[in-house]
Amino acid sequence: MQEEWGWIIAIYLFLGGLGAGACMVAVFMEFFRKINQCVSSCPVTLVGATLPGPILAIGTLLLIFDLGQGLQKPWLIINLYTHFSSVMTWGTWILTLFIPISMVYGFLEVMDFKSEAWDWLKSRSWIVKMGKFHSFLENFQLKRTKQGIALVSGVLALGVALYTGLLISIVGPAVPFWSTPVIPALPIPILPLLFLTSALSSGLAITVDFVDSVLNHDSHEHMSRLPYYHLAVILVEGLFLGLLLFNANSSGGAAAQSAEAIISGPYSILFWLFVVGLGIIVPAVIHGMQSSRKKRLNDNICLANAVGVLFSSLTMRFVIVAAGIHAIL
Amino acid sequence: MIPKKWPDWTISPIAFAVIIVLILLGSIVVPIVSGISPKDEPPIIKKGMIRFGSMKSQACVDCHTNKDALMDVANNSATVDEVFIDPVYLTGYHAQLGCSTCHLGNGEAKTFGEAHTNLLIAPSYYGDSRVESMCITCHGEISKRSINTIEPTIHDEFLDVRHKDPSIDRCSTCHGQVAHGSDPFTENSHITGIQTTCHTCHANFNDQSKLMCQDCHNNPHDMEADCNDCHSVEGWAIKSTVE
Repeated sequence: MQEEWGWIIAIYLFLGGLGAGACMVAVFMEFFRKINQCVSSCPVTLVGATLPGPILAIGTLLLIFDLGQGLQKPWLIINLYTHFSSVMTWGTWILTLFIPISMVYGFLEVMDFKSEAWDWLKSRSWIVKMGKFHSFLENFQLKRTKQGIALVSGVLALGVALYTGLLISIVGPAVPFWSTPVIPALPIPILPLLFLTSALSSGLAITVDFVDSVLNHDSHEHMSRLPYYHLAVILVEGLFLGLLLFNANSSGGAAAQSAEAIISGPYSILFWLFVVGLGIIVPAVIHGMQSSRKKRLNDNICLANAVGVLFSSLTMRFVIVAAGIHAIL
Repeated sequence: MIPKKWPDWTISPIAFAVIIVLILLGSIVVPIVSGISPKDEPPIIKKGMIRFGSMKSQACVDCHTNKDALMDVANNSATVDEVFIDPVYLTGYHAQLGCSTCHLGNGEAKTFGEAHTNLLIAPSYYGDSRVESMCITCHGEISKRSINTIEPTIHDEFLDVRHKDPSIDRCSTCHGQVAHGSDPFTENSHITGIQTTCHTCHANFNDQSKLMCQDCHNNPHDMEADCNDCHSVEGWAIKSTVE
C-alpha cells in the first residue's frame, strides 16, 4: 500500500467534494426551483451556499498541514501558482478562487435569507457615515448580484469536484489503480467522474435530505423531480464505482491488487458496509421509494440516510486513497 | 426536529457541526473496522526515492570524463577505456539524473576508495536488491504492460520463464546503457535489443530450431502462416509485396 497519503488527504478530498456538491445543489436550486415558491428564505440554498467556503478552507489547511513543507516553508506555496502545466497548479487556482467567491455567495445568501440582517447592516452608524458606500448598499441589487456570484461559484464548484479526482488520478503510472480508465482503450480516468457524482450525492444529502429532515421542510414541493435526480446520481455513482473496480481488476498488476484489497481484503468491510451499503444501496432504495410515492419518507429515515451518505462519501475517499499500491516489477 | 424557537438559519451551523462530528467519528470507526477486516493485505511496498544526484556527482564527472585523471588512478589504458565516459553522453535524459542516482557511491568524495564505496556497477541487474530503487522506481509496471497489446508480455517471458541467467537478467541487456549513449526514447529498443542479445544465441527469427516469433508473441493472428511471409524482421512492418 502507498504510505504517502492517508486519512488527512481523505478528509480533504471529502470536504472538497462535499463543498463543491453542496454549492452545485444550491446554484441549481437558485436557478431552477419554481418561481414564487421558496425563492427567498430557502434553507436548502442557505446551507448549500454557506457551507462550501468554510469547509473548503478547512480542507485546504489540512492539505497544507499534510504537505509538511507548507508549514515549514510557506513561501514555497507560491510556486504552486506558477507551474501551469501541472494539474496541482490548476487546482490551486480553482481553490484560491472558489473559497472567497463561495464565501461571498454564502454572505449574500444569508443577507437574502434574513432580510432583517441586510437592513440591520445598512443601518449601522459607521456605514451610514460612509455616504457613497451607504447609498451603494441602499441601491444594491442583492438578488441579482447573488445569482451572478452563484453562477461563478457553480462553475468553480464543478472544477473543484472534478479536480479532487483528477489530482490523484494523475499520479498515474506510480499508482495504477488511481488512473484506471473508463474503458481500457480510452485513457480517461474514472476517478474524476466518480468523485463528481459522489460530490453531487453528498451535496444533495447535506442540503436537501439533511435540511428537509431537520427543519421538516419539503424541497420536493418546490422541485418534484428532485428524488429522481438524486436516484440518478446514486446509480451513476454506483456504475462508476463498479467500473473502477472491474477495470482495475482486469488490468492486472498493482491496480488489480488494489481492487482486491477493496473487494475482499483489508478494506472490504469498509467498502461493502459503508461505501456500497450506506452510500449506494440504502439511498437508492429510499430515493426510489420517494420517487414512486411522490412524497418524502419519515424525517428520521431521511436524516439517517443523509448522515449515511455523508459517511459513505468520506469512507469511499479513504478506501480509494489507502488501497493505492505502487507499481512494481 | 429542532426546537421550534430555533430560527431556520441555525441549520447552517448545525450542518457544519454534523460534518465535523462525522469526520471525528470516521477517525475512530475507520481504523477499528480496518482492524477487524481480513488481514491478507498486499505487502507494503516501500519505493525508492529518485535522488537526482546530478549535483552530487561532480566528482564522478570530473574524473570519468578525463582520461588523464583516470590514467593516474588506473595506470592501465584498457581499464581507462572501459570506465571513461564521453561527456557528450551526459546530456541525455537518464544521464541528467547524475551518476550517483543509479550507481550510488559517493559523488562528492575526495578519494578513490570513498567515491566507490557501495558502488553499484550494474544498476539494472535486478538480482541485486538495491536495484529496487533504480529503473523500477519509474518503470515499475513494465512487466505487467503488454508490448503492442500482445500477451503475455515479453518481459514476463524473458524474465520469469525463459531466462534465469544472472548474466542477462538486467534491463540494459535489451535496452542498452541508457545514460551512456543509448537512448530508449528514440531507438527501437525491440529491434536493437533483440539483435544485440537474443541473436547471440538465436541466430535467426523463426528458425525452427531457434527462436520463434510466437515464443514471445502469443499467436497474434488467427491464421497459420510463417511470420516472415508478411513481416519484415527488421522493422516488423508489413512487407510491401503482401496483398
